[in-house]
Amino acid sequence: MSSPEPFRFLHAGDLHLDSPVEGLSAEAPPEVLALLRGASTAAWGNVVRAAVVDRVDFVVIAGDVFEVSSPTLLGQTRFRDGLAELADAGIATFVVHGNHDPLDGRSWAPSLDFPAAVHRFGTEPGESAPAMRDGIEIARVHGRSYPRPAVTENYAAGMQALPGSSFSIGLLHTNVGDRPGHANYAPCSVDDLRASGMGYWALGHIHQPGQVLADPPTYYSGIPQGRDPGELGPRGCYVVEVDGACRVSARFVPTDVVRWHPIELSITEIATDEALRDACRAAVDRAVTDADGRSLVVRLRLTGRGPLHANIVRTGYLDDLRQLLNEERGVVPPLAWIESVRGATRRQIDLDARRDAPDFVGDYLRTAAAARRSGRTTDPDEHERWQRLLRESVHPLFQAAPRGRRYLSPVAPTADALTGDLLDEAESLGLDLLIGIEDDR
Amino acid sequence: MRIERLDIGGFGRFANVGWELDPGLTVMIGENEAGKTTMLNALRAILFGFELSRDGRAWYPALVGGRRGGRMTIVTAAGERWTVERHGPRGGAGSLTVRAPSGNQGGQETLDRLLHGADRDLFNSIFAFGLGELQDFSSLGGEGVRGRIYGAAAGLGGTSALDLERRLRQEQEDLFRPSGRLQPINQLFSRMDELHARIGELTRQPEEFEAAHRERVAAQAAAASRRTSARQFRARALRLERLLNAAPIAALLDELDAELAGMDPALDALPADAVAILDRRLADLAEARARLEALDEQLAEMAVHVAGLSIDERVMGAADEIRALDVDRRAYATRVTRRHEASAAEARHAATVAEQLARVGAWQEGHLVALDDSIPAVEATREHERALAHAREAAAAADRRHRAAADELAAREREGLPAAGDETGDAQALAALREIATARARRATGSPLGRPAMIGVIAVALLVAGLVVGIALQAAIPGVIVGGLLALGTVALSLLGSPGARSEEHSSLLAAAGLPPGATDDDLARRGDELAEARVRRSLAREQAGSVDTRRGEVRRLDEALTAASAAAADAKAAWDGWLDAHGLPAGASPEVIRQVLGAAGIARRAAEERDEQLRIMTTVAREGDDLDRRARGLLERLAIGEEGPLDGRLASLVDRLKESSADHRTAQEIEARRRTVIERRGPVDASVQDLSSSVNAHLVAVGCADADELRGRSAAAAERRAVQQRLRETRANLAGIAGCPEAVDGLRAELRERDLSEVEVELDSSSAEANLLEAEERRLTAQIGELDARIRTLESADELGMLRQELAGLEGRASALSRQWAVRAVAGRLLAETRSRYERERQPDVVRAASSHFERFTGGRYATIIAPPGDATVRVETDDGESLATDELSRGTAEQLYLALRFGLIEEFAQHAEPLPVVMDDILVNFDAARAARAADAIRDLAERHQVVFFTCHEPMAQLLDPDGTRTVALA
Repeated sequence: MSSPEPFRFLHAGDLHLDSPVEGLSAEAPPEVLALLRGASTAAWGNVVRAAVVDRVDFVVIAGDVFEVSSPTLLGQTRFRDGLAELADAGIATFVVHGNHDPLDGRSWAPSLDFPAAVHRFGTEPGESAPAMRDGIEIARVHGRSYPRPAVTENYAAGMQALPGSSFSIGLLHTNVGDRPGHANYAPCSVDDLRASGMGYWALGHIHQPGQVLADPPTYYSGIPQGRDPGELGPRGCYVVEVDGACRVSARFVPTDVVRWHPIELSITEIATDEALRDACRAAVDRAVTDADGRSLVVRLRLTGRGPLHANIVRTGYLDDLRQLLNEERGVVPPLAWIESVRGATRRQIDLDARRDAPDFVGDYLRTAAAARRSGRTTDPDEHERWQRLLRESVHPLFQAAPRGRRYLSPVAPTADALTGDLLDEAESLGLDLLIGIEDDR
Repeated sequence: MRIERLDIGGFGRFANVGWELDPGLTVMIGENEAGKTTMLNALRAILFGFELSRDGRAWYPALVGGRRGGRMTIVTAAGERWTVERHGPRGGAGSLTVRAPSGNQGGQETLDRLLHGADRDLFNSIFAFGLGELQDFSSLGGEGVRGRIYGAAAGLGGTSALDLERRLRQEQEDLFRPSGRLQPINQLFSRMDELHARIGELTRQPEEFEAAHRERVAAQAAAASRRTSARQFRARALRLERLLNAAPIAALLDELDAELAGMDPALDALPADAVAILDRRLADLAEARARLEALDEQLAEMAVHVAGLSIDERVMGAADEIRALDVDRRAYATRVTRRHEASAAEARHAATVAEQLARVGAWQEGHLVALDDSIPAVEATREHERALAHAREAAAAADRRHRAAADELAAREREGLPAAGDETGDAQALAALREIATARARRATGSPLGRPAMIGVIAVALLVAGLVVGIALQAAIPGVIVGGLLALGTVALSLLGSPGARSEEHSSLLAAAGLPPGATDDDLARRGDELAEARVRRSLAREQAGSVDTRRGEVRRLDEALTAASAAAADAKAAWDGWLDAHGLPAGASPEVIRQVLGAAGIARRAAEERDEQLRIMTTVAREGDDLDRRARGLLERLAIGEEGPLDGRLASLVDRLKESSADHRTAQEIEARRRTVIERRGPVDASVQDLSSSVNAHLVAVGCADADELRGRSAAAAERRAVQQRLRETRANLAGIAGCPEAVDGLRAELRERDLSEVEVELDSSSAEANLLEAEERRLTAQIGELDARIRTLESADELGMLRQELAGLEGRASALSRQWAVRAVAGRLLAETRSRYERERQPDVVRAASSHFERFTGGRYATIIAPPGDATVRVETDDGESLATDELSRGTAEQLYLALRFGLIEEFAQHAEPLPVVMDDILVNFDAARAARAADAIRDLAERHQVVFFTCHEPMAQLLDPDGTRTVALA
């Protein structure tokens, strides 16, 4: 490997342009919807600006520019416009396609004209392209696009730096080391990466940005804009510096325009509704201050035991609280929209003592415990009995109703949920009702 | 809990009636239609509301009046007294009022708590039942009843687990119903259906995009093809059109060629401007000649003018002298006028002198004009005049004052002085009075020291009072005196008032005071007053005597002043006389007369001076006239001008002759100057005429013409030839323009000669039409491409799909959240149901055990066991010999005993965990045989130990059975 000239490039990926923001549990006002709707393209704009401002020599994009499952021409057009802006600034771009935007003939509009300064890797192995500066090759980018959404072949294993070439960069959409929670596409191991001879691996697929390997330097750029409540915190891309000795340093550049922000607030020290509102307000204000001018979508979770629990479990209380806080904040940018306020508070009672009590509440808690145990029991009859009972309870919506089956299948309670978190929540609700009766007496 | 009193406002056959109900058992007996069931239903209605109308008939309307409904007084186990009142004209809840012991009012919720959750079903089935309910097991086995029983038993107060399950179910249904439309999840589903449909349509956008691109490429190719063909046709049409346009021009070109061939080519050598040059030179020559002639005419005119002038050389020689004399004579004429004016002024001033002399009389002109009439002199007369007047006035005033003072003194002296009285006698009398007063004062105080002090105080007071009064009356001294006397009088009175006075001394003192020995206090006071008045009179007489002396002194002083004033008047007179003398003026004249004389002297002096001046002027003018006449005569003689006529006339004639000769002389000089100028200009003009004449001849020789006319003829022919040549060039250029280039002209002319123009026209029309068609097609395709571009741009920037996807994602999120809420409630409901079921299973044996015991008691041991499998809605019984029977295998009476036993079990189970409720039974033992009825009656009485029991019956034996001594039986009239 030889690369006498220091250079700089930008590594981005998983743009998921013009794909919807998911996981909103409440109806968002138009201003928030418009913000979220344009967030992915705005973040792509920030990536382009970062490349121009940092005067990078070229840009590599590690797949999933948009989603084949929800293709929009607008997303592709915006992508092309950004590439054109880069080309106008003399910046070449290298693109591979991933599982969400494979080169299967469906994903990309063939008639969309990309600038000449863009190199899109094909699906065949062994392809590489030079990154030039003033007619001299400063780096060589190796890449391979997905021909179809689900690629199980190890692409990395077949990618090797050319002998005697300039600084080599591997550009790939892959799941290194079979990370849980992610589809295991183009799987590879760190040994595959080490054996490649690349000077830098620019990876896509995992939306959380971060370093995978120190040698060779290997990074997931992450997604430039978090798209759902699971994609918390700063999101962006990396600006990578390669010096004359081929030493690499990568600097994370946040590009997200709106950030998902969870807030957990204990009610233990809070006595009144007004104090709760004040505490929520203060927590949101702190988050806004820390967001560096970005808009926030806030998920507020109330925890702990306290006297306010009785209010919190009342139907509509949390929604009212959320609406009140949102109304107070308004929709003036930068937004801080509270997407949900969830109650995970508990009564101030001794559950163990109540569980042992020879009364109906005790019976109730013991029944719930039995249901919970059935998820782990070795008694197949008991397991089956509870699974049947619990499945039947949710059957009318998730199974019997055709539209429930169609639209709710991704969130239909699993067997684990039925004896796990859903059961916990249900137990808590029932207990609140029963204890509420006691309180009323 | 028990019912203490029941009042019915209006219900069925009851109106405004009430009953007190005791704790324990009450048997209410009445015949059929006495109102037993009505009362039972009234009780139910007050607690749980009115049932709905049946078969169009109202449920227990207030048939005999009163307000439909009633009131119930309830006493709890804790001794609290509550009232429950319910009224309503129709079915339903009506208006309910629950009044607490505190006086607070509540509603259904309060009543529910009071009844520990027992609702209508539970109460009607278990606690207040008639034969109908007793015969119906379903009223016992209903989930509601079991749930309530076990709910109460479960320690959940008035709410059963069933209520919670129902509430959760309701919340689930509020979120979603399988066939609902308005529930949030249902609404989300509907919108998601719409979105999926629309998104399905929009998802075809990429295909549309590609199709639009393909269409665009095809349209572009077609447009290019049309454009090429159209251009070919258009080029052909253009060429044909050019041919047609060129045809007349080519014909003209042929004509011009022929015309040129008939002209002399030599004419091309003749310059085009030959005639113009000739004409220009001839014109210049004519102009030069005209100018020469004009100059000659001017010289001739000047010679004639000079010959006509007349100049007298003799007169011109004496011109200066003539002019000087003329000037002097004109000046003298002015002086003669001045001499006449001086003569008149002299006469006027002489008259003025004479007038002033006459005015003062007896004065010589020389004496009068020599007087000093200066301003200081006149002012001196005024000073003397004022001094004389002042001295006279002062003497008169002194005389007047002196006379008045003397008169005043004489009058005072005539008036005399007032009487002064005996001043010494009065002083002694006053001293006596003081003594008397002192003596009295001493007696009055009774103290050698105190009385005199008191008297002193009074005396001082009187003295001060007298002073004050005196000041007020502006007579301080008399006031003091009067005050002093009063004080003394007071002292004397005090002394005299003393009873212990020495009479001898007293009498002498009275006598000294001028009073008789028996004088009283009043006498003493009066005498004091008299003495004071005499003192005042004496003081006034002294003041008047002083005033006369003063006046005498004044008369003496005024007399002296009068003498001084008279002397001053004499001095002033002497001074005036002295001034007159010093100025040579007659003595005795007054200052005013003297001022008049001085005025006349001034006027006369100034007039005499003026008169003498005018005389001097007159003499000078007469001398100047003589000198002029002498000079004029001398000049005329020298010029030999005749002596006829007056001197002035001859002199004026001479001056006129001088003026005429001078004017002609000036004219002759001017003409000569102009003549020289004309002669100088004429030389060059003459030379120019010669040059131009030569030039004309040279030009004609150069162009080969004998004269000007020949030149003009040839020049016209040459111009015509040039015009033809020019038209030929222009026409060729036109044709070249049509042909495309000059080189193509000949080819075009050759083609025109070969082609038939009508055929060309046909061919042109055909080609143009074809080109038009192809161009229109191309325009259509271009427009189509534009539309496709717009469509492509629209598709590229189409936001709707993304927006809908975002909305769908939002809906999915919300559906997820809401379905989670739904699932939580579903599972919670299931947990509650499971718990309740388990609770019932585990608790039921107690109920069944108690019921078995009652059943065995009712049946006298015939049936020992009741079997009620958990979760099963059926009940079986076992006979004492172990036979198991279903309820439908039992006789009606036995079945009723079984159900009564089960009710007793449930009532007791309820009472295990909640306050016992009253039990109301409506003739339920009618189907029991005597023995079983008696045992049931025993059991009822036992029940009444723990519960309030109201038993309705229309059978006297039944009443006796329940209440053998009749103390608890109430007849229902």
